[in-house]
Amino acid sequence: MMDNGKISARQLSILIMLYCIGSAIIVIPSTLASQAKQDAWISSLLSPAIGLLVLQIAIRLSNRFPGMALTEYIEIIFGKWVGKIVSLWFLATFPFMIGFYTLRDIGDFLTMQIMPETPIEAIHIVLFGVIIVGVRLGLEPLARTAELLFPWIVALFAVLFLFIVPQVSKTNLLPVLENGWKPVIRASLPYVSFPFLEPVIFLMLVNHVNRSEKVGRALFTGLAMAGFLMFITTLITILLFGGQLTSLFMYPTYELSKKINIGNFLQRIEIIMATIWFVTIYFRLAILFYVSVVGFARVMKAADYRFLTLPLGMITIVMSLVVYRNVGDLTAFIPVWASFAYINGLLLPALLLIVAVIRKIKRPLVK
Amino acid sequence: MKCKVVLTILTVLLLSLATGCWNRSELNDLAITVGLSIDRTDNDRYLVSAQIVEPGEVAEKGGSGRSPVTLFNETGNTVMEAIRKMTTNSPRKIYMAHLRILVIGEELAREGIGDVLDFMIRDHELRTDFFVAIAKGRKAKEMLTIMTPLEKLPAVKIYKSMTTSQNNWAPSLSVTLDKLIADLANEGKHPVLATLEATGDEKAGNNKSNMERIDVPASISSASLAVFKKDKLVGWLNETESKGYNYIINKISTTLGFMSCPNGGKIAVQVVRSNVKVKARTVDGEPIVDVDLRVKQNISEVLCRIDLTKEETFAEIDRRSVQKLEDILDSAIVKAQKQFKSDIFGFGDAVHRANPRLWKKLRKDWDRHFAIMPVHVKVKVQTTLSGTINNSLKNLIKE
Amino acid sequence: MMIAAAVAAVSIGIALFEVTPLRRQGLWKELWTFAALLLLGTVLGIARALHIPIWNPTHWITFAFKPVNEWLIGMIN
Repeated sequence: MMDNGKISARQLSILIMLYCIGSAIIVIPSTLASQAKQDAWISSLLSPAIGLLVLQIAIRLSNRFPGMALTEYIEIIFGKWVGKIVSLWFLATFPFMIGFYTLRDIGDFLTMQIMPETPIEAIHIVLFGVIIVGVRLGLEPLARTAELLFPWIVALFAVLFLFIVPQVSKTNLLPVLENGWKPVIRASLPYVSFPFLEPVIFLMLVNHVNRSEKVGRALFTGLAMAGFLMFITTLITILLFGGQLTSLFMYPTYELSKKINIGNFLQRIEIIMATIWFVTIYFRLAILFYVSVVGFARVMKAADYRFLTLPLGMITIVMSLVVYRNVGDLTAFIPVWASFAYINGLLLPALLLIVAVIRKIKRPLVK
Repeated sequence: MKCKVVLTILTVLLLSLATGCWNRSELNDLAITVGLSIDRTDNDRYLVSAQIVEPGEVAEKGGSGRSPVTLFNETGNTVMEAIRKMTTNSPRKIYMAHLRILVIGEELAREGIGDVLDFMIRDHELRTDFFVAIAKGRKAKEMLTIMTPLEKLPAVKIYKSMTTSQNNWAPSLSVTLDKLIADLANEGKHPVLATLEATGDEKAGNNKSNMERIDVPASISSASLAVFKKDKLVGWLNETESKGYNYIINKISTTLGFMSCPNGGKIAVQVVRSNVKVKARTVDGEPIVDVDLRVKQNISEVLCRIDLTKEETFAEIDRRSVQKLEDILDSAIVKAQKQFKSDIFGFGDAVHRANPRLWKKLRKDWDRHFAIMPVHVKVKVQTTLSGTINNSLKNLIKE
Repeated sequence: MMIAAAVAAVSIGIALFEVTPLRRQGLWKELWTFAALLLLGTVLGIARALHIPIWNPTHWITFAFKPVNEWLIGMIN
């Protein structure tokens, strides 16, 4: 009863786009601006570009083994037992662990901005309950829901941008590159790692795509669209608030949506804007969790993956509460994670590709 | 069968989760605060007053004759402490998402408003769209105690009059919280805030009878502007200087100005468009700022004998307007440079944009450089229309 | 105390829910993995409820990567 659902290439694109926007959209302008000040928009262009380059490695690797999931060809390349260990390491430290931080992200946002007296545990349990239900249903329903919600997300973004543009001030972008390229590059590096080094995770979903030759294009398009959307968001945030003020806010995009005021009538609708974020984070979490659970089930060659959802879910909820105690811990952790992500995001696929090329391994003729 | 039982239990459990939550606030448990004032007390604490709406009084069906707002006061070591303490007196929780105005006492402003503002921007309930003003001459608390005509909620009245007068009367300025914070964080500009002054008898203003007369004995007006250096109040700009200031930061929508006529008397003009360009340039390693002002105006009131049918008259009016405006702008710049030594115009920003390298050198003690920097003011005026009559009324009245 | 009991109760509920179909289908390997993971989850949950400090992967990663990070930042500057 393993998941045999099939998704289309377009659904894969949408999934990866929602995934990348997920955690990043609400905090990125602030983290970029704290280093690059008013040049943050330049950083927001650099990072997806670097991410797209790294993606090429992953796509090359995937094309050698069309229609196969990552864990399968890890075992082919590295041998059965080493492969299993490598797969487990990858699953535990990438999709599974990122899930802790992502869940904590949305819990923090809700308790900080909207419902401070609610215990964060309650939010995590309720939210992750919905995720578990989604994951148990399978990839196809998730992908279809993403496809359905996608136009709404785009529409809400358009609303946000259109209604803010009258209030922006061009001079907030000046002077451009006042401190040179170094701060811009420095700012863009953590942003590359989170989220643009993570598409490797999507290599786990390749075996569900009904036309496997389109996978590369789909991943590229989704990533590029996510990068573009984040670029516009960062640009507008800087145009409205200026570099200094943007770096002060914890959730600059939320502050951005607070400023919508059309004719003194359409105002205070920022919570509707926050639904963009709820939806994108849901899909981010759902994909992370799905990949972890299904990957784990594959590695141990289980007959089904569903029974793993509840125990792994429980671990995720508890760990998401444990992972950092306060905002200071998180800020200190971000640059460290930035370096760590390169291991699973870049080194692993590169290593796999190199070994595969050297040993002339390709997809076996008999699947 | 078993499925159904499990499902029913689950549904009931989930429903109970969906009904309430930890953060529910019933509407009649909230005290909607429209005005907040912060003062210093004698023993170094904060006196916070909140002007709260009495919902029954504001409703269309009319109330029982009570005042439409009440005021709660408390002192505390921090602003938040004082606000929470108010609940010992107030039957409801102070809810600040609808705040319209924050008034800060003069004494506190001179010490520095940075501490007070941190709470304002950090708290999630407060938005950034309310105005901040300084109370001049009286305690900030008193600004919230005066009843006002035309608008039941005095804080809303202050908010609205500040918005309207900013668009119609040059010396007025309304500053929202996020603009204030941006200015404070900006090294190239010091903030300027509006001032509130109360006129008339303070005791009378407190009473509903203030509004039962046609001629209101006490009222609030926002007149001059408060000049800051970083977050400390250093002085005021009078009416003319405030005008100049607003011209330079391009905040004039429409306003009125006057000048003297060639043969005695005055003529008033209404400015309909005002556009300023502030540019900095470097000469011999020193910064110079050019202020280019373009004004379009119409004739509004003629109190002298002049002939408006002649082209030379308009040219003469233009010339005199240019002179007057240059004087107004100069007065503001001179006051900021010489008396306050505080760059309130954002000339530092202009230097920053034009020559970042120079700015890096000067930013540490920019105010010193600002005080001695030459500023060239150039004004261009175009007078176009003259209202609904084509010549001066006085001309018709034969002497 | 109460919360720890609630966590245990939830675990038992989950076990009841999942174990029977697994046993019925004779999937022993899966059953054991499930039990192990559920046990881990329960232990973590109870530890959290009783405020016992738990191993934190953030600390491990920070510990391992701090030198790498500093070397990288040095390179960029």
